[in-house]
Amino acid sequence: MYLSTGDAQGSYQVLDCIFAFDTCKEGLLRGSAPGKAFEGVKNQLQNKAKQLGADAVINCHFEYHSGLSEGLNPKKIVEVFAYGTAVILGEKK
Amino acid sequence: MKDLAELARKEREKEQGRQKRKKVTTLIVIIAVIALIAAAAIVAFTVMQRRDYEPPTPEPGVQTITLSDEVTDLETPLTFRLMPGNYLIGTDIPEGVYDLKATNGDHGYVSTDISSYEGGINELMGFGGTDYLKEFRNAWLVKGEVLQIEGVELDLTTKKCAPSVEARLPDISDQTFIDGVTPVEGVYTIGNEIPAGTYDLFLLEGSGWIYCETEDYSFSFYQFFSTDPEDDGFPAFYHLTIPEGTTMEVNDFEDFKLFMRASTAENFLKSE
Repeated sequence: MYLSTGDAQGSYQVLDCIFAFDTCKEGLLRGSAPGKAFEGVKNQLQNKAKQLGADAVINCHFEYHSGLSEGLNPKKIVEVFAYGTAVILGEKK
Repeated sequence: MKDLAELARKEREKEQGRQKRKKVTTLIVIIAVIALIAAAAIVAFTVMQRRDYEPPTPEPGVQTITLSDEVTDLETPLTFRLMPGNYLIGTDIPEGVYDLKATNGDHGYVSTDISSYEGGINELMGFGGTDYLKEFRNAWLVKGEVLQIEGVELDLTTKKCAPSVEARLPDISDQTFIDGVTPVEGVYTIGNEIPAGTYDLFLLEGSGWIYCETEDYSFSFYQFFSTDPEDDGFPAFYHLTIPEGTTMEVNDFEDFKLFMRASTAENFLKSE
């Protein structure tokens, strides 16, 4: 699945805008890992695109937020949001 | 005087007894109210979480699918719990009509080549994720198709099935790693360091993720491997066919040790 923060080369057919969200919480012996949340959110975008029958997600935007979880023992938490446009490559715009 | 003192003492004891009973009663009432509120909250949460879905009736003109004559109603429904993986219908699980229920994993994707509109399945499913179906009813799983499950663990319950085919589900406790590789963190090219083929992936220790992609994006795979339910990961993935030339990235999260066992699945993936 082609995933890009930019436009696609050539023509394509737009199917829909899609959104995904993932988090990663700090563990007992490890720090929070934005990389894991980023991979998770990319995977979700790909799955949503596959469900629509798309073969690429273009113009993806990623945003993140870090904070503390609720509870008596707050842990650092990283949230990653993403949205993009699911398209079929090689078809008319 | 002595009698009066005795009387006063008894009165004090009676009063103390009354106060004690009153306190106990108040405590019981408070506990009962808290329990009632908690029960109401649990019921409300359960109702909110429940997301049933009935696939729509196929539209006129859409090709409808058929199951083989072997498929029949069973007196006692069968239930299979499936880890993420690719399952060959008619070999790994019997052909039939199933209800699917997510039991673990928040952001999954479940599909066959036949879409939901034609009777198959092509849905985002998850146990706790918002906008993800928790249940899907009446999925027609046709012999020869591959049921692909990513990022979610499912319970499949038969509505009807071909009883002559026994489910051949991979066993997570099977530690007979006859043929395989244990890749450490890094980037690999399938066909060079690791042979192309179909693998069962098992988490041995820790947690981490792998990401695979071919240069032309025709194949991609991602899974986070973990036994910690908070991580939204899984300890295994079954029957992953990785084509030659794929770039595979292994990322350590916490002492990650993965084993890739050459799959024993025969004649797997008709698309190969």
